[in-house]
Amino acid sequence: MKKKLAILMSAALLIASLAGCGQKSGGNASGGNAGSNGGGAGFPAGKNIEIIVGFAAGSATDLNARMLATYLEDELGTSVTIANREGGGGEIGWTALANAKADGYTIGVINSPAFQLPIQNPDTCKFTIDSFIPLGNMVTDPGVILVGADSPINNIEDLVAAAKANPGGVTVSVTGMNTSEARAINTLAKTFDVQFQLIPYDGSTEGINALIGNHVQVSCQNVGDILPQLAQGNVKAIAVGSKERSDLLPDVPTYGEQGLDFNQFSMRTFCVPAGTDPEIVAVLEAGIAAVMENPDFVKQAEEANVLLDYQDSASMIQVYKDLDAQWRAEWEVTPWA
Amino acid sequence: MLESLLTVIQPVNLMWIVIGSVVGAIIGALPGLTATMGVALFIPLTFAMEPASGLILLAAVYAAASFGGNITAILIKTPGTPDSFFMVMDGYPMTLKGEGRKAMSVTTITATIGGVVGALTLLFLAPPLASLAIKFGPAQTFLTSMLGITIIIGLSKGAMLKGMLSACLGFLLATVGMDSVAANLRFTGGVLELYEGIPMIPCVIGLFCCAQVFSLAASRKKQIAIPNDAVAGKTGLTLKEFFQHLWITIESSIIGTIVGIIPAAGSMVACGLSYSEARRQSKNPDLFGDGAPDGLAAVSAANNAVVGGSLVPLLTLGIPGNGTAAVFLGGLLIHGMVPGPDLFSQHAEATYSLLFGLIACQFVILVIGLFGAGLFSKVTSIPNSVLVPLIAVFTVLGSFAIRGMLFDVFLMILFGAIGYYAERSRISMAPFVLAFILGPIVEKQFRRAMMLMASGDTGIFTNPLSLFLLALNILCLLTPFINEIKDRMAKKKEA
Repeated sequence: MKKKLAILMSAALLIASLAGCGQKSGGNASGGNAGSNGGGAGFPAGKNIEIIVGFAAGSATDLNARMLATYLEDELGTSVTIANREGGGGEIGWTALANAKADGYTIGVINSPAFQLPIQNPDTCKFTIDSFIPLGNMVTDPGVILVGADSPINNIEDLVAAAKANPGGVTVSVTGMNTSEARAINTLAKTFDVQFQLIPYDGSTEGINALIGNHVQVSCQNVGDILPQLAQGNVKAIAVGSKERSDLLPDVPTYGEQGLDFNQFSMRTFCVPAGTDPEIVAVLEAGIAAVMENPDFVKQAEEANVLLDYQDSASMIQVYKDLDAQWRAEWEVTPWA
Repeated sequence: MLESLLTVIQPVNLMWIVIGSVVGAIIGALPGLTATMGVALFIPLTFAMEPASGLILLAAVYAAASFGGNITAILIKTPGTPDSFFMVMDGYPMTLKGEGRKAMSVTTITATIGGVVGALTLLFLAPPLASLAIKFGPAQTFLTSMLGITIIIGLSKGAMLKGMLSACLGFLLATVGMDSVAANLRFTGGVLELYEGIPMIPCVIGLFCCAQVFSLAASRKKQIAIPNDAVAGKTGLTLKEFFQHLWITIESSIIGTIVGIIPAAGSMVACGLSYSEARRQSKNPDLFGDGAPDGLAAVSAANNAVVGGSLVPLLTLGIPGNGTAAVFLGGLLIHGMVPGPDLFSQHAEATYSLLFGLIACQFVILVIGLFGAGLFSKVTSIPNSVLVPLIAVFTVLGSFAIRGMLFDVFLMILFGAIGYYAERSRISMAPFVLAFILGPIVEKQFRRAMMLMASGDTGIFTNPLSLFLLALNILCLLTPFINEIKDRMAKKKEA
């Protein structure tokens, strides 16, 4: 009897400390309410701003956000913290942002492939492009197709010839099966009527190392993740996914130049939930714009191979609309998932 | 190199080593706060620092956090990190016998030796060993992780059915979430929080820490154990005992370093392999799992040796051997240090400072552990009425802190109940954790290997490295059975 009582007591204690956690987030929310009642005036009034990142601490998106957050603190005169809500390939964090209080104290990073989800899983995905107001784009990272340093393949034509000679025998490492990388290779296969064997890896490092270790023959990645290995001559880039050639790889032709009509890129954009006061949006937009122009920030980003590409709120709204329309049209013809 | 040595012994850098080690040890000791999180939290702090100081700080946090979990695992059975659950197996029974102080000394000294072996390997052998890491493709990584799975049989000795039950449950729960090969959702019941699978840390906190809260609350004892100076001696560990465990410590350090170098294998496999090796060599293997100091020595050494090992492929090739190393990579890149040959030429000063710093912080850990041993082991004589609420609060905070979700806290409590009843039914949760953590790795690598086979790459299981690993697997699989037969024959002779 005594035993049962003790267990009950400790369970009660657990629940009590649980309530403590609940209160913490509740407290934040009510503090935010007071802010939005006063309109944009006085924002951020020294209160903490949280940036939701849909990937783990240490991932490329997380490092980008942390780098910007330190500078944003000075611009806004308040503390800016990162909340990693990883999971579901970013979906958990993006959903959390869509459902967050629209008071400006919660902002988040949206990675553009996010908007594939409402198209391919309209029943389960709990956000669309209308769930967010973009504040400014930080990074645009184009896709890239790589082969081993001493591979006989030098361009997409060679790659297609290799796939024709050995149907299904050319292995390609990609970052997951629902990603823009997998879409790029699947579109390549459809365009030239060949077959590849996609091998999904977790994250770009694993996928690139599989190429360097000769476990796969080809790899599809983002430019920002491969520059160190490219500089050391461990891999060879044969095509980039941007519309125009990338400044970082001026000698590498685009997919379009080589007959593949497909743009592959990931944009990392700071957003707030829809419904945020326009004045608050303006304060945050101006803060991010100022950071993106800060020479110290730009220098640090360049050193860390971060491909900065600032675009303001208005132009990002248009970019999202165009992406959505384009992908919906694509999905109608050939679903990629 | 000399220049780097001078950099490390600058007062400011020594200060960072001490701060990093102390904070790292605390992070490691608190349930839910892992080495990975510790390094991630410290990275922004290094922005404004000299690269050498920043990296020394990060290395100290990494090494000390890997050790910190040992303290709480041994003394109060609440492993701070999933990796330190191996220390519970022999450390906590030692504490119950009143040998908490001795256990603390064993784990500290052997962890230091392991850490130094790992760091020295990194210092002198990094480039040649790096080429080993790259040889591990899906097939080889699969076979290495399988080594960890074969250990389950050894762990279940005497209660095979219960051990298998525990392992099967682990494998089953590991399948929840998006499978990382075909990106299909499995067994999530539409719950968004489960898309990435059952989160590992709340699960481990629940099974061990929360279950411990329940069982302490339910026990009639007023405290865990009273440190028994008569049994443990004043120093905790005599010189004679130290030399008895020295060989297995060095062997485990080497195992830890090598496994650390292999991407994706990690501490779990390193500890498991050292543990079974230690038991194979031990004069009284029956004591294992019941407070064997050599078992504790083996896992402590291996766990800390993994740190240095995992930095080998990271610094030379940019391949992180585990999650913490991946975050560490981010810390390097922020200082403009791109892994590769440049690190040892262009950035040599900062790089070698990092390596010397890693060695220096092992000695800070030694000091913390040895001088703190007496103090820490007093934790066990704190009345349960004080200790239990404290642990309860940290289990909640720890599982909440990972993703900031209340869902994880409820999950943790659920696993706490499972852990409590499993313990009462004498079902060990060790096979569960091994299966739960290694299951997804094994599945993923096997499926990748099969995809490579499908593309016509049929030699991946028959190359020399794979054949060697395959042979090792068979050996690990058969050893427990051979030992069993030997035991029975010996008993027959006696009879």
